[in-house]
Amino acid sequence: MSNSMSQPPTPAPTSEALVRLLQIKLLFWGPGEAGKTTTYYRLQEIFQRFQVSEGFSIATTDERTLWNDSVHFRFPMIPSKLDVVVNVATTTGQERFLSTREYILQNADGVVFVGDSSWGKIEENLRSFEELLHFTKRSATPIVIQLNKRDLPDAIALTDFLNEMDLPDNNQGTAGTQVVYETIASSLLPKEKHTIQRLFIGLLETVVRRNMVNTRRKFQTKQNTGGVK
Amino acid sequence: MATIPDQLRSNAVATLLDELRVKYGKLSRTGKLYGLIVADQDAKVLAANTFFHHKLNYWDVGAIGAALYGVGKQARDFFQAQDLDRATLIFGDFMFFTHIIGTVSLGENPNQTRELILISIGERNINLGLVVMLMQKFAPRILHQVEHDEKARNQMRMSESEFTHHLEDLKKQLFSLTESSIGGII
Repeated sequence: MSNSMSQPPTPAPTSEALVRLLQIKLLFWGPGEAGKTTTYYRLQEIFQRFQVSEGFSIATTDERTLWNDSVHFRFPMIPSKLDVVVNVATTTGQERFLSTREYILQNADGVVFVGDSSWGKIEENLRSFEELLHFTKRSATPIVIQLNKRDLPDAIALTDFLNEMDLPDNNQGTAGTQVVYETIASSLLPKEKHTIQRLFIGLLETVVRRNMVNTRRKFQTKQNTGGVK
Repeated sequence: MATIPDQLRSNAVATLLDELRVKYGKLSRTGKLYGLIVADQDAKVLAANTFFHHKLNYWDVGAIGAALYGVGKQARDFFQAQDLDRATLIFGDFMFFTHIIGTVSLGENPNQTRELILISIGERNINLGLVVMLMQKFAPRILHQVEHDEKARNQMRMSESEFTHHLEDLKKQLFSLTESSIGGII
């Protein structure tokens, strides 16, 4: 008792410490059986040491996502002294649960659209992508595309996929960022894992940057209007 | 116009659901039961009561019920609790229950089992105790019925793609007018 009394009290978290925590939600969206949940599990392997929640999957006995999968990571970003907590979630791809997807998408800061490489799934890819664009039109949420299952024998060529999906021919977005990443989420090869890692970090950087710009803008507006002293 | 295929609202399990609803009506003077559904843990709807509320989508009700069951199971693992009995959602004007009925074996393989859930949705002022009591009372009868219904068991055995085709057939039953004298919409 006396020992604990003699120790200096632990300082309460300052408002600055709270400001330096950024919470982000990244979502995986796409048609059924495209590889959203597989990528989700692969991310848990890649970023295992940053995982801060056990994560959950609400799925059917066939391992098809019924509601969603969700897990949290905490990434310390040294240069900016910022801790980023990322909630990674997936939606269901099954047509019979489509009505639930809109709710999972709410408040997402960034979306990975997981497309299926099979030629036979191009219609489903298109329909799902258009649905996503419709839902995110107002918020202008950043989207990257993961073209999965590149090992399929009838895999669509990247140029054909870009054409079919009406994406830029040079596979570059307005900010010069890569739009489509070709992956094999089921593969355990380091090269494949690295592509998923690159895709995830690329989107995360875009979202963090966007968030910081928005926060700074809001802060400046408050300062100008006399809200902050 | 019918909103639920005959296959789901006129089978033996649906008859039990109708009986449950009538019993509730006789015993309680408050609150309406809008609908009753029996589904498996994968949200495959096996039966719905005859007077299922026409403004509710029985398929969405089944999906929410199964998702609620999934959340309950996940929570059970987190808390290391015993088996899930029932999950309830209470809204300003609705009450929604997912009651676990029991497990059905689908084959010789002991791992091939499915849990059955009874979903009920009603007005906010329904007699909660009575609904719970009736669900508990009817659960063994429903379970027994499903265990002896080969059609229902086949439905639970279906893979996701087989089930999608099955749903398309059910939809055709509701919306196709091809064989009618006035022509068709399909």
